[in-house]
Amino acid sequence: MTAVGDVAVDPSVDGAAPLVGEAARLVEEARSFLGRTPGPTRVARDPVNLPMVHHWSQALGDRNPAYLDPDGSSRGHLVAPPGMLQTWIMDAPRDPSAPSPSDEVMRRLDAAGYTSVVAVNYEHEYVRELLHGELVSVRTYAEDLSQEKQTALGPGYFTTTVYEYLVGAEVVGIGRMRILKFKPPVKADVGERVRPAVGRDNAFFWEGVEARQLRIQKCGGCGVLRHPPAPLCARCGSTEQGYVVAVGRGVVYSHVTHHYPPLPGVETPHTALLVELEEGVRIISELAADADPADVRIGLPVELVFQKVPGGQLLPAFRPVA
Amino acid sequence: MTTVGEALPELVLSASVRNIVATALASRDFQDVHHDVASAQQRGSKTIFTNILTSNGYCLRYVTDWTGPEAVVKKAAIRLGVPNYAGDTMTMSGTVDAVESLTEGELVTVAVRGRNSLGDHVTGTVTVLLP
Repeated sequence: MTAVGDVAVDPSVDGAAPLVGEAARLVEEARSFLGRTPGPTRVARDPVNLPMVHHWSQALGDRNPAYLDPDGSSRGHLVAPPGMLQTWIMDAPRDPSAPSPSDEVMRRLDAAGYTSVVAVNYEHEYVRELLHGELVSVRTYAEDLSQEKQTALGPGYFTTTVYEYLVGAEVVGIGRMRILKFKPPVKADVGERVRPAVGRDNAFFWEGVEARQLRIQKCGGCGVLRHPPAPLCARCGSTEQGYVVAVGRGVVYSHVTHHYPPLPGVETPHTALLVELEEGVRIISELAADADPADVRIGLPVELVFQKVPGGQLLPAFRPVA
Repeated sequence: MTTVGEALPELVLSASVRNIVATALASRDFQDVHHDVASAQQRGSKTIFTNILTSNGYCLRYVTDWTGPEAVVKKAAIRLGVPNYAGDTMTMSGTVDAVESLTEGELVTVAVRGRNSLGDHVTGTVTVLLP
């Protein structure tokens, strides 16, 4: 596969952005395959048969007697479920050296970077009912290719493949599948989280994090617990200090979920938590990445985890108690 | 005689893992997103989901369950919306949209809708000839 350049988009033109470079050339080349010239005819592996109808009927819960019982309708014979039209040719052998015009369109859209696909419309004209023993064949052509559209899934092109279903030379059905070929959005690189400023007063805390402990400063004079770390005790004025290791349980005292603007190293939505620990102090932290912001409420019991944030820094976080 | 505006009885379809896998294979659709949870998730889906041939087949079944076996399906045009994920339930509803009298019978177009917990999975029309 050839290397493909980025698609340049003129931001002033919505939905019909001009293309430049290799991608543009590929899309224009794709257009040259549009038209009513069908590709090679592919023939079903098996004729219309009752075992496959039974399988379909049972799986979909479709007990229509016209499909299952020769005397089930006034026709006097079985007919195939019309919904199975494409099923008959799903595994019809392909000749990889003879691609159809729609294959050619898809190949070029893939090469231009529009690698994802989602079906939008599926339409059929069932020209006549199919009888058991009939061997279905199909040929396809590429009917249309839109301009580039900005969609909720990403930028892409709508294109329609027409399926002509045949029994011998007789057209027995026409199918149209309209799909969106789109570029999957690339997960934004959020950058690296700002590193903590570590000094004499809080080094014990960050050493604790590295050891996967949540350390709470304890006054060496009066024994009171305090967070965040500070050089002297607000109660007794002592500069003596030690710490205790938190058991890692608490409740949400307050919370806020940040959506915008983007912040370095922060994947949004990002929920900041003020957690009241069982030891009685409160700590600003964040919701664990695997938890759902919608579950957070004031008073919610939470437990401590340690997680790496973008950039590799290990940080304490909290998740709802299971 | 069929009248425009007539509502079809609703049909509730379970999107169980069993149904999603069984219908995908019965329609000979072996794409992994219809039977392999890990592959579906790797491709950005919540879990496995109903394939298109089945969604179309359900629309046809819904209408012919109502008409009975004499109906000949002439056309179907469906639009696909939200995925029908395993674990969900889809409720089919429908209303007669148009009735045309032909020498060979009544040509009846039904507007159908398959709705699950995420919204409309499928909407469209199914046209049948009632001899």
